[in-house]
Parts: sequence; structure tokens; C-alpha cells
Amino acid sequence: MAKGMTPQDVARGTLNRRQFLKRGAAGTAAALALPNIIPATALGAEGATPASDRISIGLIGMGKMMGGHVGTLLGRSDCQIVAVCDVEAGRLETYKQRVNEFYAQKEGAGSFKGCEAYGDYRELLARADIDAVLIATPEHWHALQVVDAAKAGKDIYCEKPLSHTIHEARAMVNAVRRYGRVFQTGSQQRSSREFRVACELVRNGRIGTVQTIHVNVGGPPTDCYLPAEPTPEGLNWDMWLGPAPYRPYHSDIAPPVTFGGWPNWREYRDYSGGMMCDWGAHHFDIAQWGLGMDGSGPVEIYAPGTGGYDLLTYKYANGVVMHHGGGSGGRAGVEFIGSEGRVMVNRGYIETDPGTILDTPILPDDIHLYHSDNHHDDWFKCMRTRNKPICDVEVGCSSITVCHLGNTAYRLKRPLKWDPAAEQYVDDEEANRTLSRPMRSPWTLA
Amino acid sequence: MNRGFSTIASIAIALGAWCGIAQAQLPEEIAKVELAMPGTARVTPAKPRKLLVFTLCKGFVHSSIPIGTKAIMRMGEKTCAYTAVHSEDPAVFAPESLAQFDAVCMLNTTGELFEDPALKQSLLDFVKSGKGLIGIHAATDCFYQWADYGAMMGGYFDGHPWGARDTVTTKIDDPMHPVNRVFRGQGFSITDEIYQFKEEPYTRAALRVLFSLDTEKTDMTKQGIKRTDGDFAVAWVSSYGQGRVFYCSLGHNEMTYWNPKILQHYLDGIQFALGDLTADTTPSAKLPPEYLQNNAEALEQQILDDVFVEIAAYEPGKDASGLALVTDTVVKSFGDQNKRRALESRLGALLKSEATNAGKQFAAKQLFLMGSRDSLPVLEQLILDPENSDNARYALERMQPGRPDILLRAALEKSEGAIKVGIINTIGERRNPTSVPDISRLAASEDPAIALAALRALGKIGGQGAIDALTQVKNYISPDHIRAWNEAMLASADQVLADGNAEAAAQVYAQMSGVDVDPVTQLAALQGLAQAQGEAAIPTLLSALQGDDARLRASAAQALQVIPGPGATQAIADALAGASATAQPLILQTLKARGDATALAAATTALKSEDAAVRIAAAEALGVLGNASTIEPIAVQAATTSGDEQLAARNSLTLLRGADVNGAMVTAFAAGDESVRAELVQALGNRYAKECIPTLFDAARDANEGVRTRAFEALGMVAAADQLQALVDLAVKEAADAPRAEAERAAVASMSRGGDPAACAAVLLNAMAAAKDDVRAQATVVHVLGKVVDPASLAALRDAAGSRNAEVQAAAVHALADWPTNEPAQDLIAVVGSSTDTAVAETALRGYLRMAEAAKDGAPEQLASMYEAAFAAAKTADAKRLILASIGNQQNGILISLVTRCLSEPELQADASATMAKLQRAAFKAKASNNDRDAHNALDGDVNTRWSTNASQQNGQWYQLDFGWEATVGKVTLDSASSVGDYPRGYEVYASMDGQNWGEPVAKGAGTAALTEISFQPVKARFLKIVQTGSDGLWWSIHELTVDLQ
Repeated sequence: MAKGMTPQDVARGTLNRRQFLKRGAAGTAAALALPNIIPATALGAEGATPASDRISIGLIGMGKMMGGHVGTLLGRSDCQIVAVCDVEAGRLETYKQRVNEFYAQKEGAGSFKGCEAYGDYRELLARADIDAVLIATPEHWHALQVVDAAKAGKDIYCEKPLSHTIHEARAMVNAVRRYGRVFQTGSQQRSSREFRVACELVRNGRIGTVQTIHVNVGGPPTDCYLPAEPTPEGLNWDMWLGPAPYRPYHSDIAPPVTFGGWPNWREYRDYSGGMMCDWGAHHFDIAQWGLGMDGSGPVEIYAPGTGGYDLLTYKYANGVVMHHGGGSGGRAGVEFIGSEGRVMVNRGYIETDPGTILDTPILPDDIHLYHSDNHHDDWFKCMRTRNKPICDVEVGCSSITVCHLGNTAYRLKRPLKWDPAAEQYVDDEEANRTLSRPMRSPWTLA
Repeated sequence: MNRGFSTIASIAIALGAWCGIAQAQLPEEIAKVELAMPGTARVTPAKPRKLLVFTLCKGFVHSSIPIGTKAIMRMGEKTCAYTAVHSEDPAVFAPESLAQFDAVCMLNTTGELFEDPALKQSLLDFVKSGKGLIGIHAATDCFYQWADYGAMMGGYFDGHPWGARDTVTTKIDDPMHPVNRVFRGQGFSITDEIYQFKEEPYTRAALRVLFSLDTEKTDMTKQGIKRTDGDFAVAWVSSYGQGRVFYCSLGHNEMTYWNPKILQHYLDGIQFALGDLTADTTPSAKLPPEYLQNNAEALEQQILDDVFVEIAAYEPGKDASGLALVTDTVVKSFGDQNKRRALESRLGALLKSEATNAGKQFAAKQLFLMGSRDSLPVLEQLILDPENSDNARYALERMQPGRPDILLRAALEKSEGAIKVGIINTIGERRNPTSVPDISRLAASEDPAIALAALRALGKIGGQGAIDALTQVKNYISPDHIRAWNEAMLASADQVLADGNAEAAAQVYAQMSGVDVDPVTQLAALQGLAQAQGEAAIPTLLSALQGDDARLRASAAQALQVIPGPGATQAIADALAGASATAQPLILQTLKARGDATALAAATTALKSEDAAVRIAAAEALGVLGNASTIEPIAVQAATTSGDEQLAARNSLTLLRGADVNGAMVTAFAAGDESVRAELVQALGNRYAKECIPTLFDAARDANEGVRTRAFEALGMVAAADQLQALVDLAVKEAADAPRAEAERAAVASMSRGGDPAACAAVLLNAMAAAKDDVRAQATVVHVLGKVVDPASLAALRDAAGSRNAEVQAAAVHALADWPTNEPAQDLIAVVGSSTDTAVAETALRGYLRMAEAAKDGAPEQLASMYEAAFAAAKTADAKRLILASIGNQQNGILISLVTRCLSEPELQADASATMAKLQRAAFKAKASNNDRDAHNALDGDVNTRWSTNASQQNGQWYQLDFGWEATVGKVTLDSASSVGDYPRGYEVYASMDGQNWGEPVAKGAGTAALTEISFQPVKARFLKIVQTGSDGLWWSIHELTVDLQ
């Protein structure tokens, strides 16, 4: 492999498809130049410039998803975790200790300042020495925390699904723009080679004109009817619920720390958009990327059994039809079907029909999609260059809007018309009510 | 008198019997019945009612009789619908005895229960006179010899094609019927024995059938189905004389008596039979054809009546089917104003009532979607109720503008604390400019929560009105709230800007960017200024970019990215040269993000900066901004620098856009020095510049080795099979190692672009023949030949593997070792046995072992013999270790004996043991009494995973191993590792050859610590079972299990 491989991933030309598949997602990570353009610690937070040259990070929401981030961030030398926040005291203490022990061991206690623990994210945000926050709370919390973080001048990495409603997503864009923040949405499939390759092939017409897309993710959320259970000691349940309507604790929603799996809050409408959002923020995101629809979206949505479609179906203004589910089966998370071929893609998997499509190089004058091989690297790089990361908040907003539109069609069981520019359903007062969700006092998104 | 006494006595006996039955029941079953039965009767009895429950059996005795009797009796007691008396004494049917009852319930009675005609007549007279008769399940499986009984009950049992374990689906024949009310018109699935009735006397001409099997959703392929009319009625009512009959054939299974819906159905049927629940008995066949259609609307209302009662009492965890039904009704009534109004009125009534908070929350969530001004009166009250204020706001927040806003503002006056904050929030969320005066009054509230909420709400409403209001209150707000005030101003200005009034917005932003403002507000104001003023903001932003404050520099750079137009680009570019070294890279990143070629000249100049960070940023920007004219300076930079800077330049060369770029690179190639030539050749490859292949071939003949190497690399990117001959020609002539290796790779790559294997092989074999005097050239051809999967090339490689020249032989052995099929396996093992070059022998052995591993799904004997051959050929301990490692990757117990042999060789012992453990883990099959799914976790070599009983230790739990072959075993070790205390409290180990016959235990004992080591006299066995014999509250867990096989 020649040195100086570029963002355009010349490797693709030297590998045949089979070899490529073997390499899978890992691919060849081109080293990214990260010029230290401005002192990393002075990127917008209030207060004096700390001595260290690292980006200091606060973590909000120490659940299962955050576990992976902590490992990644501890392994980086260009940042330091200085604060953790959770509404569950036990896991909060555990992470605080883990972080402190790691840094103490790595650097010696002398140069180590210590990681503080907070039960209320607003206290963490009030710390002037924190440059950036990583948010991995349940999605009914995202908008409040992101907007507050932007107002505090922090750069932000927020886990997907970006928001709980369409208005929330827009409010997040507005706050991030207003305060000039660098924002990365956790839809990290865009930083995976196979998805970028798939979308570049589609965008460059390698399958002809796109006609149909199949997106395979789980379904919409349900209402929660679980019984009450005693609230575990150490859990601030009121704060866990935050803006969501009150209901008594149940372990299925917020399992104890010892639970190893993915907690089930993501099944319930009051906290989540279900799998439509949880996985839709990945695969619908890729569909949007492949279509070049960032900043826009579909114009019609058909609930299953309406408009002559058995599956939930979206229509874009250019005539492209996107189905939730279906397709040729197999491993594809997203299947693009064009007039001259198909591209099927999922994590660690890409296939084209005909297979030769995969071997066609992307030339300099072709459309080149944003190249990122690592979602965290990209965020850190952009915090320094002040450019927009690959999954900037506007990208996340467009993609999660597609998911919310589908959920509303599932909920209202009828066809909907959508105006992507106005971000309103067309002449549909009832559907427009779903654009936001009232919050429990005292929470409000502003 | 005498008879009277006897009746009482018989009742006493019956009750005594009942007590006996009661003791036979499990308390948990009774608890389930208690939980499932209705709390109140459907109707209040007109007078105290007495029910006789008769359960005598002359035929089959249902085991569910005790629990069924208990259920019917307790249900009357609990709901006060009736008092029940249980009997199995026929004498109870004597007229004087029956007279005390209002109805008789025949519960699973079988056979000819009694013969006395007087008693039979008494029962007929009893019912005819206006009393009730209830039949449950086997009540149609008795008195076959008494036709009047059959006629009265409505049918005779004719087998049960669907047995007690079958699940069937019913359909509700008469959804409106009062005795069907609990089903809400919805057919249901149930697991119970389902009767078929004889042709006579069952008939819909006499019976009002309530529900029956849904033959579309039920398995109709069952044995014993006789009826051909598809009529499998399950429950009915009828009139008999003046009396009332209710029959339901469900009730075979115990669990039917703790099915809440069925119990309610029974109770309704009993109340009908008792004379309290009025219900029509017009036979089904005599109903008018439009009966169902005419009643559909009434049915829907009745269902909603019931459901709303349920919702009013809803608590989390209770049956939520009613909630789901209303949710569905709301959605389906879209567009039907009348239905929506009726629903809204129900929801409003519920909100006004003493319903639970959970019920009210549910109602508010429905109004969120469909509430209209009709709901305002009730919401007006609710919003001031501390328990329900959030619910009321939930319903109100998304309603159309107008009266809800007036309501909310009025509520502001009457509220305080958290309720007031919530109302302010909702007013803000509604963004109605007419609310500004009421909200701005609160911005200076002494309650900080209210003041903050008011400032936020003003920011959300935004616009000039909010700006004016904020300006007015500024001097009155708390100093602690300046930040919130700033935020509200910025948000308001954003909206003024979005509404098109850039000038007014710019005024605010300018005000907010002053030095007296906090830094975060300041940097936000910079963003705003850029948006509102466009190019006019550039001087301000450029000065911030030059300033001392890094935070503001970053923010200014970001703001500069969004100002549109080439004029802006030019202004920013003009500032580049004079900017500080700190600012320059930021400006270049900005210019790159703008993507406007206007900045090309400035960025090109920056390539020559003294500062590396600036040069890097310039190179990166040029990748986007550059064109054919920029090639030379970037190529020079790539050629003369290293590290990040070189990488940036190279990336840019690859990225440059324009149809003339490749051509310009060819021209520049001709003019460049050797290092520039190398860069350009590399770039052409990265750019897939196929049209430049001639230039690349020229470069492949360049005098400079580096250029040649890069040229071959580039050809590897673009050359097709057409160029194979030319590439091989160059490769065999290439004297230097590095370019030659690249040339070989390029030749291989070219074949993947349209190469036919036979044709490629022919080209290469010719080259081989031509190179017969040049062993180095031969080796080169062999390297390429190895990638052509073709019989001719395989034959040539086999020949070459026998070459006397070491280089050629090594190349051939490499190629054979990488061959994609197993064909060269024998050739390779021959090399292992014969080669004196240990490196070559190792290559051959590795290839051979790879092939053996690829054959793992083939015949086991063949696999064993492949490894036998490997051991036979292996000459060194290292080689044998490789073989052992390979065996470890197999999942086949047949290889155990081969490994066992190595155990005795001291230098192989460690490797052999490790392989043995892996092999065992993979080959063993495990199962267990509990949690069988996880059984293999104890064998996966990972001490962090475990198998566990997932239950307290009890005698008889077991874990069993199948070795897959007969082995001699003398020790087993159980490790409960981190599951502290989960060692077996007692154990017995059994061995077996067949997994069936276990004989006496080979060992027994008790664990005492995490590690339980069990040694015993070695036995021959294929199966081993560990039985846990102790008992303890802790689980029994095995994280890792190891067996010592001999």
C-alpha cells in the first residue's frame, strides 16, 4: 500500500471485492493530520485557560452506551475525562473511581487533577474548565442537555437517536449554531468504510437512478403499562424521568447497574422513539446519506396498509420510494435499488449487484462524501479546526426527522404529507401536534 | 320434615366434602382465582340469590372440579351476586330442597347422575317454573339417557377434537349480548378442551349462541371433527319454559378458572340464570339479518362505557387493554367529528372525575392529539391541581392558538411555584406573541424559578416584541439572571433574523458582542453578526480572529464560514497574509470549508509559510480549492517534506478536481525532478488515471529507482490484464528489489481487472520459458503465477517446487502454500519432509496445515491421516508445535489420540496440553438440567462466562458432558470462580458409555470452595454427569469445567 493514502481511500482500487469484504469495516485508516491549530482547552468554555493542552471532557449518562465511550476516551492522549454525571449514585461512583484510577496509574497523582462526579448535569455544565461533553442519556433527555451544553459553550458529542421529537432536533440545531459549537451525532456508521463506499457508489450513479430503498430496522415504540416497583436506593428516579410524564419506577425501564443488556426504556414512547429511532438513526441515516438528503427529507409517508403499500413507506420529491423493511433479505441493513443495480450494506458487509459495481473506483471529479474513519477522531479534529463533523447536528436532525415521521405514521395509521423545508406536516393539525412533546414542570427546552 | 332434614344433612355432607376438596388445592391456585375474579357483580341482585353447585360424576372426573367449585362459590360471595351451596348428593334435587335455590349449576357432571324420575322431573319443573340452570363444560356430557335434560341444556357432547393443551380462537357471535359483555366483541384465544356437539338436540333454532370457534383461526385438521357445518358453539343461553339456561363448554382446565375474562363471563351467565341480568334469548336463527349491523354503534358505546370505567381505576401494571382500545379508537376516529366529540366528552368526564392519576394522565395524552376547545373548561380546573397540572398542560400545549392562550394566561394569575413555572413553560412553547406582556411581567419575579422561566419563555416567543419587552425589564431583573437574559435576547434576535429583519437582529447581536458581555454570549453574538450582516461583519470577525482570545478566534473562524459570496472569500483571503501565525491555519480551514476557488492564490502563497501548521493547512485547503495550476507547488511540497505535511500534500494531489488535472500532471511529470516525478506518478495511481497508463509505463522505465517503484505501485492501481505482458516484461528485467516487488504486485493486480486465468497463465508460462537461464526472473514469474488459479499454473508451480534453485523453489513453495484449494497438499508435505531449508519447510508446513484446517468438515479419518502425515514429515519440535496449534483450531475429538502422543514428549508437553484443552472444549457437548442454553459457557475457556442453575441448589440438578468419543477419564474440576459460593454443596459423578445407563457414582463428595477438584479411579466412558446433591439458597454455577482425559 502506497504511503499517503488519501481520504478517497485508494485502497479500493488495489483490492478486489473479495479481499475488500475480508477487510470489512476495519479497512485502512488513513492517518489524519490533526494540526494543533488553537490551544485545545480554549475552545469556547468560560474562564481561564488551563495549563493542560488536552480537551477536557465531561460525560453525562453513565449507562451501557457510555461504557464504550469511556474506554475510547481513556485511551486517547488528546483529552481528559474530568467529570462524570449520572442519576444513579452507584454507577456514578464506579465510573469516577475507574477514571481516577486509570489516570492516576497513567500519569501519577501529581499531575492528575481528578474526575468529579455529579448527579445533576447542570452542575457539570457550570464548570468553566470543561471544553466538551459527551452525552449518552436516554433520548428524552438529549435535547435539554444538548441545548444547555451549547449555552454553556461546550462542544458536544451526543449519542443517537438525536432527539425525542422533530422540534427538539431543530432546537438543538439552533442552539448549536447560535453558540458556534462543534457537534457530533453518534450515528457512527457514517465513519465506517462500508457505508461510505455504499453511499458514494449510489451518489455517483453506479446503480443508475435510485428508485427504491429498503431500510431494515425494528419498529415503533409502545406505550408503557408496566406496574410500579420500589425505586432502588441510590437512583434519583425523578431526575431519570426529567421531562417525561411521571410514572413509578420499573426495572424494565431503568434496570439496575448489574443488568448487562440494553435497557428497555428504548421500547417506550415516553422516553424513546423505539427501534425506529434507535436503529433508524443508523440505517435511515445511511439512506439519507446515499440519497444526498441531508438538510431535507421525504415528502410523503404512508402507514402500512395505506397508499397501496404493505410496509411503512416514504416518498421523496424526486420519486424515490423508501420502505421500512422488505428488500431481498439477507444481511442488508440498507438496500439501495437503482435502474442499473443494487447496493446492500450493513455493519461489516457490503455487496453489490452486479458485483463489479463494488470495484469501480471513485475518481477525483466524482462526488466525494465526507471521509471519516473514526467518529471520535473526527469530533476531536473538528473541535480543533472548527469545521463541521461528519454527523453535524443538522445531519442528525434530518435523519432523526425521517425516523420520527415514520413513527407518527405508525401511530396515526394514515398517510401523511410533509414539507421538509418548513418542517411541518401539510394541512394536518393533528400530525403537527406530534412535532413536540410537553415537558413535566420545571423542564423546558430553551 | 324428614325430607327436609335429609336435605340439610346432605348439604352438610356436601360442605364437608367441599372442605376435603379445598385442602387438595394448591394455595397459589386459589390465590390466582381470587386475583382473577371480578370485584363486583354486573347487576345488584333483586334479592338474595342462592345457587346450587352440583359436581357429581358417574363418568370421567375432571381434576379441575375442586378449583372450579371454589371459583364459582367464592365469586358469589365476593361480588354478593349469590350464595352458593355445593353438593354431590342427588337428593338435593328433591322439590322441597330445590325450592330454596334460584338456580342450579351443573359443574363438570359426567354420566347418568341419578335415575330417580321424581328427581329428574323436579329439576325440569324447577327450571320451567322460572328458575335458572347453568352448565359448565361437562354439563353436556351427562344424562345421555334423559333426552329432556339434553333438550333443556341445549346439546350433548360429541367428542373434543381440540384437547386440553390445544389453543383455539373464538369468535363472538353476538357481541351485543349482555352475557358476552366482557369480551367487547373481540374473539379470543384460549387453551382449553373444546367440545363438539351432537347433531341433536343442539340447534341455533333453539339456542342463542354467544360465541363459537373461529374456524379460520383454529386448527381444523384435528382428528375427530364430525360436524360439516362449521358450527362449533362454545356458549349459549336459552329459555326453558319460564326459566333461563346458560351453558359454557369451557372449564376443563384448572387455569380456565383463573382466567379473568371467563370468570366474568361465568358470573354474567349465572346472574342471567338467576334472573338478575336481563338478556334476550331469542334463538340465533330467528334474529333479523340486520341485527348485528343495527347494534354496532350501541356496541361501540357500550364497550367504551366499560373501558372508561376501567381507565378511571387504572394503575400502572393493571390490564391495559382498555387503554389500548381507546388509543386505537382515537386514531381511527380521525376525520369523524361526531365520534371525536363523543370521545372528547368521555375523556373530559374522566379528567373531572375521581379517576386515578394514571388514568387522568392517559386521558391527557389522548387530548394532546385530539383535544379541542371543548376540553378547555375541564383543563382550566385541572391545570391548577398540583397532581394534574402537568397532565392539563400536556393536553393544552399543542392546541391551536387562541382560547388556550387566554386560559393559560389567566391561570398564571392563580398559580404559583412549580405549577406557575409549568404554565410559563407552556406559554413559551406555544410561542404566541400576544403572551409577551403577561410573561415579561414575571421576568423580575422574586421567585428565581419563575423569573428564569419567564426569560426563557420570552426567548422562545422571540421576535421584536420579545426584544422590546426584554429591553424594558433589563434593569429590574436579578443580576444572577443576566446570562438568561442574554440568551433570551439572542434567541429573540435569531427569530427576528429568520423573519427577515436582519438590521434589527444585527443591532441586538452588536449589543451582545460588547466587552461587558460574558464570553459565551459574545461568541454567540459573533455568529449572529455573521448571519445578519454578511460581508459587513467581516472586519469585526477578522479582528476577533486576530485577537488574543483563543475562544473568540475559534468562534470567529466558524462564523466566517457561513458568510456567503466570493466577495467574502476575497476579503478573508486578503487578510490571510497579514494574519498572525496562530490565526492563519484557522483562516485556511475557513477558506477550505467555504470551498471557493477565489482563495486559491492566497492558499498557494501560504504553502511557502515559515510555519509548518500554516503549510499543512494550506495544503489541505488546496486539495479543495486547487486545480491544474496548483499541481507543481503541491507536488514539490509532497516531495520535500515529511510526516503530516507530506501526507496533506499527497492527499491534496489525489483530491484535485478538474478534467485537465491528470493531463497537467503528465506534463509536470516530464518537467519535474526525480522526487517530484515520484509524487506525481503516485498521485496518478491514486487518481485511477487510466488514461495515463503510457506515462506510468514510461515512469516504470525511469532511471530513478524510487520513481520506478512508485510507477509500479500506480500501475497496480490502474493496469488491466491487457498490460500483464508488459508488466511481466518489465518485472523480469527490473534489477532493483523494491521496484521488482511492486512490479510483481502490479502484475497480480492487473489480472484482477478482466484477466482470464488460462490466458494469464499462458502469458506467464511463456515468460517462464523465456527466463529459463535467469533464476531471478523465474522467481519473479513464479510469484505472479501463484496468483493464477489455473491447472496449467499449478503444474508449473509443482515443477518449480522441485527446482534446484533455492530462490525459485522458495517462490514456488510460497505460491503453493497460498494456493486456494487443497490440491498442492501432498506437494507441500513432500517439501516439509525433504527440504533442507527450514524457512521453506516451515512455509510448506503452514500452507499444508491451512489446508488441513480448511478440510475440517470432511471425513474425520481423512483429517486424522492428514495430521498423521504432518507429524511424520515434521523434523523439528517447532514444526510439531505448529501442528499442535493447528489441531487446536479443529473441533474434532478424533485428533485427541495424536495430541496424547505428544504429551509424553517433554519439549511438546506444554503445547500439547493447551491444544488438548482447546480440543476438548470444542469437541465436548454439554447439557444440563437447568439453563441448558448456557451449558457450553462452562467449556468455552472463558472464566468470565458461566453456566448456572439460575435457581437455588437442589438435589438432582445435573450437568452432563458428551466427549464425542470413548475416553478414559479420572478427574474433573469445577471452577465457580467469581460466583463466590456457587460451588456444589454435594455432588455425585457418574460415567456412561451410552448416556443412558449410568450405574453407581464413580465419585461423590461436597464442594467447599470455588475450585472443586474431583479425582476418581479412571474409567472408560463417553458420557460424564455431575449431579448436585446438596441444597442451598445460592445457585450452582460452573464458570469453567476441565476434564483430565487419559
